[in-house]
Amino acid sequence: MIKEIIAKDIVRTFNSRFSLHCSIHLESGQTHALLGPNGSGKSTLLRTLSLLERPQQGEIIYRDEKESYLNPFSDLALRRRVTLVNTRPVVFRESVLKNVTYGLRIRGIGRKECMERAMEALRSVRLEDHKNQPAPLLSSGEKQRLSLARAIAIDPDVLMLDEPTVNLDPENTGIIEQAIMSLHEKGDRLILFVTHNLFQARKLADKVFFIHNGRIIEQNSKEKFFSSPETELARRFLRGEIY
Amino acid sequence: MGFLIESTLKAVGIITSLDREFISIVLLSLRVSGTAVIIASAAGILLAVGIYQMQSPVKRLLIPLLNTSMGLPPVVVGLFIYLLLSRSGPLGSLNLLYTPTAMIIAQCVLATPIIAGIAHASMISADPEIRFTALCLGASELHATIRVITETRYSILSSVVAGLGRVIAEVGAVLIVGGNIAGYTRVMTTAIALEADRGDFILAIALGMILLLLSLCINAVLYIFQKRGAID
Ligand SMILES: Nc1ncnc2c1ncn2[C@@H]1O[C@H](COP(=O)(O)OP(=O)(O)O)[C@@H](O)[C@H]1O
Ligand SMILES: [Mg+2]
Repeated sequence: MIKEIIAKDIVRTFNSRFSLHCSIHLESGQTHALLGPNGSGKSTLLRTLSLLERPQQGEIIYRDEKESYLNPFSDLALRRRVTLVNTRPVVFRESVLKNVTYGLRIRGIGRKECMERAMEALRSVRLEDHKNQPAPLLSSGEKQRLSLARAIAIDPDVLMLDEPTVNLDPENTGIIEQAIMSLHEKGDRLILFVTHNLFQARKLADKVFFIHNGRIIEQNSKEKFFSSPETELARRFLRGEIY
Repeated sequence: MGFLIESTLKAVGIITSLDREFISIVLLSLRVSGTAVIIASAAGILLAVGIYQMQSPVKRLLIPLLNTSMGLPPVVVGLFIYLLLSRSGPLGSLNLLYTPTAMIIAQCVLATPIIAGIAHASMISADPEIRFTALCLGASELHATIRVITETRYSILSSVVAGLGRVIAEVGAVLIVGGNIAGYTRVMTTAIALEADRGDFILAIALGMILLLLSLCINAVLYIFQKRGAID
């Protein structure tokens, strides 16, 4: 199990206008919410922390019970212990079930186990009745649930979610939140999610990070962050004055 | 007009009587073009994947080159293969000129860029997020590429069918490298050219009908693949 992720002074610059420059420390067993205005670098930070994109500077350390891994971007085995669920769900042109078994099949997991884990993941997002349907025909809420089921089936040590319930109705949102909470209840998973929904952050998170213009300017327990934010920017964000 | 109708009726007679010469010409066409397309599919798809995966700036040179070679004139390809295989050519010692193998080589050269070009275009037009999503789910670079290919399978299949449609109907290349030898390298298109030239239209019309029918089938299959590729 991954125990912690430490990012030290990572820098990602795309152009002169925007640059991500931050440090962050995430721990297993905790659900972390990343909040911040649009374009503040949340998605960029998630792609970097989940080892999909290298920062231009700085280091990322993954640590499990035994070892520390420094910048393990090309370590496929380690990369497979992290799963990122993107904002826009991209489903494969196959059945719902085959979408869910994808991550397991590429890991060389046998047919029987694939099926069991996929069905369990589908049940957790209540898509089990759709298993034989072509995934591209699902509604957008169902696609988003499928996208989460694909990640849950993998049972990763680290799960990162980029706005998992954006544009969804309360029912779909509830199903997804429930599935995230179930994963959290396993006790040793490391979860990081981005949201614009402050209720959701309150409901799911233990810790909150507030990012603004590429920098994490505040981090606190959920209780402290919502009751007494330390920075003026966070206060304005919570009042809905910046977004 | 009467002549045309009479010839056509006789041509239908040839088709329905399963005339030996007629059948052997049709079968040779299918064998040569079919084999050429099978080899060209492997080569073309590999080429498409290679270019798709390529990072180097050479890529920018290769793509226009590939697009240009999609429209290579069959006679020019025929001439080129002829020069390679002719007795004084670099591959002359293989004694392949005027054999079905030479025809397969020529058609393979014609079909490969078509298959590679269409397959490559469909891979890059596939949602770039497919690749990223596969990587998010733990795919290696190779797995991610296989995923992109799987997602574009219908477009890639239609590239193969388009390649077949092109080579089965071409005459220039097979005529030059095959020599249109009766019972050995005579295929539908070269037979039609020869028979029409000799004023014996009946066999030509019969073969022409089969060729049209084949084209129709090929295009129907192409249409189905393109439809499927667009829908799901
Ligand atoms: N691949 C990229 N190329 C160029 N600019 C990018 C790229 N990805 C993100 N950006 C820019 O970086 C900034 C932060 O983007 P992002 O991380 O998506 O923010 P957020 O998810 O917080 O809305 C934006 O200004 C965006 O335009
Ligand atoms: Mg974003």
